[in-house]
Amino acid sequence: MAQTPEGPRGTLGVMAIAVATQADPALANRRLREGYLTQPMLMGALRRGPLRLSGMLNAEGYTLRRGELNAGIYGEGYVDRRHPHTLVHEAMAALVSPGWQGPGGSWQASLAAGRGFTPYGSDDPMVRPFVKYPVNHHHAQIIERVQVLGALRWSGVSRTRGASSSAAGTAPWAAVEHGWFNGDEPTSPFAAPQWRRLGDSRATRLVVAPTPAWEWQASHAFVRSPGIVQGGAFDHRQWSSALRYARPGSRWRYGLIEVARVDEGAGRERAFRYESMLAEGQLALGSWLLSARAERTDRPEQERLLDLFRTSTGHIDFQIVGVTRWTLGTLQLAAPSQRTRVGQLVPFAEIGVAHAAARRQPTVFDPAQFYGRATQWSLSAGLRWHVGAMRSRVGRYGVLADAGDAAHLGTHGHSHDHRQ
Amino acid sequence: MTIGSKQSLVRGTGHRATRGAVAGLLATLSLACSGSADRSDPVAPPTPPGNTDTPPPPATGAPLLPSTGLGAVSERYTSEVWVHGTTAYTSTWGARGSVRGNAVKLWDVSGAQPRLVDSVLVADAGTTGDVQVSDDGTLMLVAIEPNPNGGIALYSLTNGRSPRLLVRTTGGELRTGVHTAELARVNGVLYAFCAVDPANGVPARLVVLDLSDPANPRTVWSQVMGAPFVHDVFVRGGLLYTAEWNDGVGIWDIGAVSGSVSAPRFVSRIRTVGGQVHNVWRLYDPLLGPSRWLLVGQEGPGVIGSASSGDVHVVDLQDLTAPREVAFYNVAGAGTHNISVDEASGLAYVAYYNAGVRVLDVRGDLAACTAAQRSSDGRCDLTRMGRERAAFRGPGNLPLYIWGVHWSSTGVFASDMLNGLWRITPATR
Repeated sequence: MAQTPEGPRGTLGVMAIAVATQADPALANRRLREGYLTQPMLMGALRRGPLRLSGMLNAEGYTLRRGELNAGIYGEGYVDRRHPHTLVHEAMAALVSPGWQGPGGSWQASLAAGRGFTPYGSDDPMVRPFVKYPVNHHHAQIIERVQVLGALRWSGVSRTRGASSSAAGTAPWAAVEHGWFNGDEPTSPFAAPQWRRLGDSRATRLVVAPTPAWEWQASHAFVRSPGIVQGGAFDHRQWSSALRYARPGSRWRYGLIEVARVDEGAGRERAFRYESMLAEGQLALGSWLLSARAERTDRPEQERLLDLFRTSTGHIDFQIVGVTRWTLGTLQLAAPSQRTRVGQLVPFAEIGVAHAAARRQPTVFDPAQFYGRATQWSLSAGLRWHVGAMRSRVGRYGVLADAGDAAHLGTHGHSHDHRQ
Repeated sequence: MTIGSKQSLVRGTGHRATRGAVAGLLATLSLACSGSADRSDPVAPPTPPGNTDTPPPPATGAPLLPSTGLGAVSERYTSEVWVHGTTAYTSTWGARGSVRGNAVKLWDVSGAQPRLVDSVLVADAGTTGDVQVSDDGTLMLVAIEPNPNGGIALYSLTNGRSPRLLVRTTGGELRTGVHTAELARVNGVLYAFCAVDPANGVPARLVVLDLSDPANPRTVWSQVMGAPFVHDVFVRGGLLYTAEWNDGVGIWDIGAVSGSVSAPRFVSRIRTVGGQVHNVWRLYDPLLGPSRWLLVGQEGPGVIGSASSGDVHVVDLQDLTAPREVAFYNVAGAGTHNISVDEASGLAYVAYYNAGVRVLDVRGDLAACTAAQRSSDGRCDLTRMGRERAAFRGPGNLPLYIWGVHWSSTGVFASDMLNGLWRITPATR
């Protein structure tokens, strides 16, 4: 891909992870060993004048239809297995205005539309260090929605250059985004969104970056009936706040502290509340990368289908069968990236321990009874492959896409070399 | 993405940046702390403090009904109960550990303690949420969930307590799951009224099957219904009452005047306070026939096994074309589920999940109350009217979660999701 001093005009990359996982117990005191081709993705971006295009195709609908063993995960009808993402994972276009000088620095606005990540929460786990997703994926991200979003960014005075600067510099910056989208969750990897529901849900995010390395976000979303696409299920009110650190090339590469909350209810009447706290980080040990994550997340339990890894979407009778508090620890060691004729290869091993406990007694979902033990272990080993340009951030459109470039994150193998 | 990647290597810029980061951290943690302060319970309806709920006692000090015996079920969760003669039938729900709710249990209830005599396992069922026996005792109907293996199963009971499968439906409109299925005879023909679950992109609907040939059920009416689903029906006197959740109660003529089962005529609709209409019961007087009153069960949000919410609502049907809500009954910290009425005694037995069973006096004018007995919205409060007559809470502090209750001339029986089948001493006036 061509690159100019102003930045590349376009990027293209492809990636996939081959991974074997042992979950013990997965459920019913059974140990399962499975292999997957997970996160097979083609991603690209184009930047021409004020226009920004970004897209991602995700082939998990072909490779991961049964879902990936992932302790505690839930969403979109899958439970204890991560659901496959949609084929059209992202297809966004944005127009960025010229910058203008205003109070305290320079200002810039953008308008974006398409299908992608809503302006809510933290970065998607796919661009974070671990192959296994955190339980809070649906607490802390709202993705694969058709949306229209506007953003306004302020950039202060660069301390290193001594002049007002764009976000491509070291100046502090802040931005606010607001988006309208469809509340319905995807019902399958190939399902189209409910176009008539565009605009029934909304999200607002404030991002503050005092330096290129540090970034704080706070966001709120209202999601109409995510569980039943034709409407009528509980609405979600979600809050997220996260402090993120990323400094590629340094010993402490990356860190994230995140809290999130989801309230389910009708209108302003709350029925259930689920909370999450997460901290993760990455340390460089020479050319090896050691990553660790700690998480505590509440998960609603629903009646399981005949496939015990599946549930219906939306709560039958507006009831749940319990709330489970998941406490998890994950450790990953990634080897140095190997440049080969077929692309970059990063071997890794990941171990996780998860403890599940019912938040209420009596409960009809007793984790120890259901899984066979209250504590589950997961061991994964795999090889991450990529060619071309990878992304260090996702869900950043228009002026945020430009700003986010200043905080390149090295994770999940992305850190070793972003291009070939 | 690699745009501007060079800037990513620029290091931080001193104390001001650090202070900003610390401020962000504090803000993040403050949100976490605010969450902690409001973490007492994931369910909003009023519940006792702590993680363990005990059944709320009757507010009025109404007498507690003793149980004469428990038919214990520990391997599955028990759901609905039906009694015909001296046999009780209980269905099962969800997964207890890895044991599915695919069983219907038959109990001999001729004695003080229910005695298990047989079980049938329903193929490809995860929940058998509803069970009913026909008025002549020859057919047993079972509702089957979940999607996509939903449907009904019909069993012949001609061999008494040894059910013989006639048909287990697959596919078709019932495939997304039959949540409740009611047997009712209209103009001499037996029908099954099936409340079919919605699925993503598939709306809920009511499907009525003609069971003239039970081995070959025939759909005679299918109607999209409910917001977001139709949950249950009640059929009596040629009228069909549909519990349509946030669309309230629909009243249909299916044989009373000009309507029929295959071509129902819509009569009226009543949206009760709070919606969430789960079930209905049209009261009858043994001597005078249909009364003015319709009992409506509201099922609010709940955590099955431990918490529930929702009131009983009383609707005045004096003008069938303009029904109106006149009274309600509330139990703090619990919600209603199914209802069964001893009409000769004018006593309604109401399953109240974690609060056990409550018995209400439903004889007389339920809309006649004093100002002190009214709520702020003008409805009569059955509790303040002294109509709470008795309660069943089980022995000691044993947690209960009562799904259904069934009054019959044999006795009163309550299905408890956690424990099995209780036989309860009937209440008296």
